[in-house]
Amino acid sequence: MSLTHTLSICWSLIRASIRGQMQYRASFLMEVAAGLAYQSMGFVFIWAVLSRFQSLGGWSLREIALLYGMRLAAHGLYMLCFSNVVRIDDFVREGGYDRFLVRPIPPLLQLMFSSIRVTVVGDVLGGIVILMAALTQVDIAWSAANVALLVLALIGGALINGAFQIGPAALTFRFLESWTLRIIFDDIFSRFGSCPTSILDRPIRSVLTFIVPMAFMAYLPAAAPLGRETYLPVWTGWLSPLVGVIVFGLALWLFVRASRGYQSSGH
Amino acid sequence: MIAPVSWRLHPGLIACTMAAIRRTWAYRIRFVLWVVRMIAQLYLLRMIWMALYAGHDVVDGIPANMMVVYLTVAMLQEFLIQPLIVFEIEQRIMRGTVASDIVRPVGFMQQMLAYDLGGILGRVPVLLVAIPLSMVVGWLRLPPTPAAAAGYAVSLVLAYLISLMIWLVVGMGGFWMTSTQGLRFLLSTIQSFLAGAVVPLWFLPDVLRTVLQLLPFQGMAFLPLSIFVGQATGIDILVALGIQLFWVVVLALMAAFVWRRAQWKLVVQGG
Repeated sequence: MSLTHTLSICWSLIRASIRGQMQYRASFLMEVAAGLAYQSMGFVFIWAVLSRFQSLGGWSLREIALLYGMRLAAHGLYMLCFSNVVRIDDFVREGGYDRFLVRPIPPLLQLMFSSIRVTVVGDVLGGIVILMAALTQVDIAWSAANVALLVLALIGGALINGAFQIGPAALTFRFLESWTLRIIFDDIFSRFGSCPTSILDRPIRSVLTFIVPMAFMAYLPAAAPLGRETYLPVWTGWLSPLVGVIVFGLALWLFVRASRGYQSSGH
Repeated sequence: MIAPVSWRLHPGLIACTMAAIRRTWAYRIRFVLWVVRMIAQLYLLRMIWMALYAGHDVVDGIPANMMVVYLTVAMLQEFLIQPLIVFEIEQRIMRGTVASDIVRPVGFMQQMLAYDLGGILGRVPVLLVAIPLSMVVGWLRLPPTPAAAAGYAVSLVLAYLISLMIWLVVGMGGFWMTSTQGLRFLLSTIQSFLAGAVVPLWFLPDVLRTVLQLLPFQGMAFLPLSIFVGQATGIDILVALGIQLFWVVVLALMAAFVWRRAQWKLVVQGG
């Protein structure tokens, strides 16, 4: 099976899914708006409190807007490929996963592309707009190094985001549901991903740096160009993609391994 | 074949409630994770607020520890009164099973309310763990006066009714739109902000605060919470309850109106 053939099948699946979602047009528009609203809540929170409290851990609203834009753009990037993972519970519980097993492309690819959630449009656009707007507001030199750092951070952020959705999704094969765990990570990333992790106390900060490496999504990579000290050496900001690849690899391994334990629902 | 609306307690309704309780417990791992989620969120939120207070004990007349209690109660009560009813209605309309719900001898709305009640009862055990836990770590303390405690109890019931009515109307939107997923998702993400559960209305910019005070959402969190922490006292408690009651009545009338219309709009898919 050639790669181009696999890709063309995935593309057909995506097209069919978008056509399907367009059938409920009012709901389609609502979902795009909802995706944007969900992702902007984190920012609205920060904007609202900072209009009263001025700074969070020494970071101004503009700087935090940059962190927020980075995280949201990374999230959009992740959603472009993996938005459909949220449906894993339904597929496993109702036996729909059977279909993926009898088709000639890897089940995870089919899960990814059997439908693309339209809310992605909102996340991607929102992320880019906020990121660009924030970049004009903060004092960052447009050097090649800084641009590279930013792009690498987005890729790393998307991988970290993906890892903490696909990894937990593996649990569905064993427990028949994993959304409760997935939304924990979703919540934490969207609500706290744009906060400087330096304001957290030591144990929690370590967890969010070394175990659930949220600090690598925006805070650590942004610190260097903004000329800020963090609790880690400045060069660690470059490690985002590496951290992303490691946790994503682990998540993939876990998913593939757990999927061998799939038991159909017996109908 | 639409059952007339009657409020006589039918044994079928009790069965609906029991079914909802059992279903809440069907996936046990959920409960561990729910508690973990609440604790994780509260812990982080608390830390952010401490960073915002930045060493000040009181900001705008609100002590830091009152803010922590506010956030804790907000989280706990949000967990208790989740709007799962709208999800239930949406699923039934989308899959067409609403057709068999409607021909049952008990009204559709009563069935849905019985389910919702079951969901709440099913979630109570989680609170029985979460409440003592948050008292031990000092994030939660009792309301300062008996009046605040009593006021909060009434206010919580009204908050539930406001939430219920809002979500009923949204859920019934499905009879027209067929899929309410988008609307539900939109509202569920912004409701805790609109309700003042994320940032109390005290700290919001003037314009935003005025807008939120004109909407029913503040009755779902901000009003009961300001009674609980003792920020609203004396006559203010009664005013808060009055505002909530006003919204309950208005929204109930709206829900009844929409439901009357909805029965004539039902399109069962793929039947």
